Amino acid sequence: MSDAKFFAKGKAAELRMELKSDKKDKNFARRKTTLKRIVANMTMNNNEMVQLFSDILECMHLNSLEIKKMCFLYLINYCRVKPDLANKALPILLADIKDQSPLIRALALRTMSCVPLATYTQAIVDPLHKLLGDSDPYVRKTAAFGVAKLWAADSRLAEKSGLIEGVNQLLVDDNPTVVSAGLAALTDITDKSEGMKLAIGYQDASKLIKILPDCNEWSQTFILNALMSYTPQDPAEALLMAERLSPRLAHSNAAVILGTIKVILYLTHYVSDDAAIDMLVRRFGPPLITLLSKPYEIQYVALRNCFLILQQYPHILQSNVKVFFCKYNDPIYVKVAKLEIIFLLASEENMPEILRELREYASEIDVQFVRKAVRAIGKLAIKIEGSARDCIDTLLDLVATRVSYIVQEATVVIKNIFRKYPNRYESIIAVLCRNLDSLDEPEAKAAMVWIIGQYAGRIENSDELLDDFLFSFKEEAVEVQLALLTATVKLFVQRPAKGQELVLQVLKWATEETDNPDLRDRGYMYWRLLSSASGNPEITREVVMSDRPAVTVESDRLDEKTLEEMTLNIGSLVSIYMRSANQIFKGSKSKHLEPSPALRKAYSYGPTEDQQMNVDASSLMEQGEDDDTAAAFAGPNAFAAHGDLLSDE
Amino acid sequence: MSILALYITDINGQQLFEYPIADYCPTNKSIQVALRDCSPEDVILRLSTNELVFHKKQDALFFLVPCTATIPALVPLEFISHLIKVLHDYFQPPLTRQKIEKNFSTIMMLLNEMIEDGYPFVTEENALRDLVPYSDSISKYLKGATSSIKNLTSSTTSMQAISSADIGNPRSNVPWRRSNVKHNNNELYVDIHESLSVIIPALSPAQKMMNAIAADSNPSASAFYTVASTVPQVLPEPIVSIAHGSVYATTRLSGIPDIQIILSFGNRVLEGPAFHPCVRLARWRDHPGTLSFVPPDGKCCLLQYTISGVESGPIGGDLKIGLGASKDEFEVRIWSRVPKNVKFAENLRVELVYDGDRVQTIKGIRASSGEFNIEQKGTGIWRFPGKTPMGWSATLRGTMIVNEDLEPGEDGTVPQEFPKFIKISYDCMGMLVSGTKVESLKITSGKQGLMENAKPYKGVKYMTKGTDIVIRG
Repeated sequence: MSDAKFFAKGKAAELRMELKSDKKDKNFARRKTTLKRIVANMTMNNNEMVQLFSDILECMHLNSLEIKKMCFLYLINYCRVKPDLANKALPILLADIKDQSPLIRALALRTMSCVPLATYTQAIVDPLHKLLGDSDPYVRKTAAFGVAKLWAADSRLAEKSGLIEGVNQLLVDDNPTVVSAGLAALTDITDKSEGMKLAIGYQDASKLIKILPDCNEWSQTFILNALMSYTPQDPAEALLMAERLSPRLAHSNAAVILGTIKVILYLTHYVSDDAAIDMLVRRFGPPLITLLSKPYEIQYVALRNCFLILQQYPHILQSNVKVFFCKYNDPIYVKVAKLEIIFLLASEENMPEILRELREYASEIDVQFVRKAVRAIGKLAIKIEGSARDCIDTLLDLVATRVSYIVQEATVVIKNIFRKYPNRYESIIAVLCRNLDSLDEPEAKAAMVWIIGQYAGRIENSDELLDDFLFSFKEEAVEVQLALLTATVKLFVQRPAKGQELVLQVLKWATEETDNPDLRDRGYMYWRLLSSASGNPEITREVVMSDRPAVTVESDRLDEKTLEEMTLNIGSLVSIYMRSANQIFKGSKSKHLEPSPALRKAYSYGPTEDQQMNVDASSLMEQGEDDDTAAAFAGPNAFAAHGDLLSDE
Repeated sequence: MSILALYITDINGQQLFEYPIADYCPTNKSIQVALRDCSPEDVILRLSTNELVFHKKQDALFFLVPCTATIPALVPLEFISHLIKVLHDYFQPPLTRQKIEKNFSTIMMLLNEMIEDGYPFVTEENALRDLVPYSDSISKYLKGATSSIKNLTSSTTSMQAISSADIGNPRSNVPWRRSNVKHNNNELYVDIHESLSVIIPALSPAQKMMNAIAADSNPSASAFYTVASTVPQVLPEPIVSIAHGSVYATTRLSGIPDIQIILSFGNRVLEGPAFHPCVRLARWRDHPGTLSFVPPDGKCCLLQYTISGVESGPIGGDLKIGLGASKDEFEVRIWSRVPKNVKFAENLRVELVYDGDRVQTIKGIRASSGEFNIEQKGTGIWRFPGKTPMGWSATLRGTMIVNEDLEPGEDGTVPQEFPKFIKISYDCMGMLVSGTKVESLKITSGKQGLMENAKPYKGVKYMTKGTDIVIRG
């Protein structure tokens, strides 16, 4: 049976002839074929088909499921265009709702609830009441969804009708599919409703978990989602629920796996026994690894959520870091997500293999990925002091390739290493100075200038190096100009004789010849400092060379509330973008932990909390990476940086 | 949280099929505009503050699913995968524009069952077969079954049976199995596939040099004179070697058969096994390795598992660079290991990946066997049609010609380019790289549905697919 010939020239008149023909039509075969042509034309937006409405009404009476299906599709499609004719179909549907076949009852009911006409909305209330108690489960589940649709069309009518209580009754149905359909309908309604909220008690939750294995995979995702509305009142109760949910982690549907993880993580907030929590979360490891064999899109979602879970519980996969190693043929979004996890799981023990791996990525073809790999190496030096030397050696090895973008990226991260470990590893400076020519990006230039200024006292020809950079001062980006200004002042403070001439020149440019207010302000600030404190160089030195806030990738962590919100939204966009729900969605209900006697103080758990809440602070510092003044401005941007560990910003 | 619509388009975004669900849903046109501006990283596309689009390319088609923003992302993503599986089941892969156009009304009715109120509902092929008959079905065994269902659906009396079977009424208790299954030839097949994913690291510079010297001085290793026993002196250990296994059962058994399969995994540890809903989890928990189930009719995936640290498979390879008089040649070598119950591998191909921006072409290609072609910028493919015997090897040598317009480095020369990676893929029947085995396979009950003294045919097949064997240069 082929539909292709159907749209050729489906003229309405011709199709009408076919439908009305008096010829013999055994089992309605001819009319079925004609209806298929009509549906095909309708799908292709052939608006001529709307003329056939009355002919379709006649076919609706035929006692064939297939014909009814097609007629009802037609009705739903054109009811808005021809409401009068659509209303004529209403008696047929109401009759079908009393049909002895459950499939036809369900079909008629579903069709009615899909027609957005007030007459239909009014007429469906009574049948819904009846069919919620139908003998056939297929009909009951259809009725549950019918109530949700009615509520969406006319919430006041639905609430007044008492139908919502009727759906509530379905939650104690014998049939798991009906229970989950009832739950789906209630969730749908309460999600959109201002006043109503889904609340599930212990008995209900326990029953839902019991029927979970008997439900199909989609019902399982729905029930899991609904279980987030259950608030445990007792730690033992929460633990028991989490234990009973654990077998769902062995499902083949990735949505079920992640949904289960979400509920178990949620329940751990109400469990008091740390060892038990540890047992629970350790079970997440293997299924998360299994998700990495799924299609790339699913892998990506899994990896982003994995990152979130590992922030809190890195130990569950710390010994498996290799499974996150990238293959060259992974798409870039998967590679970057894996790289972030590798960074997160790095420790002194696994550092040698991680560094070898990152070194490998740095020789790949994709420039974007290479840069992120180099950046990651630099950040590891800051994150894990014991491995800093190895990281730096790897970076130097990379600088030796003389590939311009690698050298620039390395320069940027090495600057941060100097900030973290002042006055160590200074031998690197010589290597960097040999590669000044390959710097053409503002960020890299500014980084190099900062290094020269900071170590002006120790770099033999620091004045010459700065002079070289100053040659193109007026063409530079503001970021570089600011860095040059500060570096020149530092040179002057440390080596007055060599810096005097340069500093006068730069201050003149900055105060007299620039249009940029930041540069001018800073120029004036130095100008006054140098002229007023001229009697006391020590004070000037103290101000200019003062200690800056320490660079760290650990000190700043997602604040408790944010991390809590993220984990309550595992699997949704919130957890993938790592942005708060109200930043992403308009007017969505934000999730939070409901208070109960069993609720732990949020996020007090964690074996080595201090080391393991790794959220990058350095990426936010890099935004205004103007070390000497900007630290205070990082505040408002703090959120943007979360999760973008290796961002280029 | 709901799915708003579903569109199927061709490669150019031309709409082939639409299935609107919500009253007001984003049009394909608006999605296409948004898609044009998105980067490949946007797995999920933001259409507006409250609308997302999930998209997937399959065969020559795009599947676009706009959803409300609060939906758990894996729901639409898994749904698209399921839909594609169902369409493959109904219309056979690959899906084409013609197949979609030919089957509008069937796809329409399928989606009507698969999505309920904007949420995935029934996606099991077996349940759908009951609800949406398809007369064009190629497989003979289903033809008989579907026609009988057609009769059922047009006569109202026996409809009760169907409707309770398909939504999991406890009375039937087998929601995933079609009702009234009858077969003349009763068969039960088990197929275990493992796809092997390996990363072999580059050699250290010192090792590379040793190998280069050896390769240049060893005449047996030059192209055209290969000897089976020549394997490189130093072979690095794989850093990652993972087998992803899938256990499929294909059953064509009448009635409601109960089956038990006992698997042995040697001493390997199964990471995160994932089961089909028909498998009794309690039985597995008490007897690891035992799959006990009432199967859906036809083919289904009973179990997926992951095993790490497996052998690197029957085909090995390496990549040497800096060979020849002017140190500008590379050599790729692959070999099959000494046979272990396996006679041959099939569909062997080796991908050479290099920097397409820097390399203009490859010259002086000498392959001891197989065919080498540059298929796209930055990728050359070396193919071996037909069967590849065990205990065999082949080499490919060549020189990459660097683009002339590249800027020379400090020393005034442009560095020579070599392949960055090679990727090997193949199919190997009759073996599983993890050593997994079916110990026993029996139909424990439900035989009464079978014909008198019928002996169902049973068979087990193994296959290892080398999908991602990456060797770094």
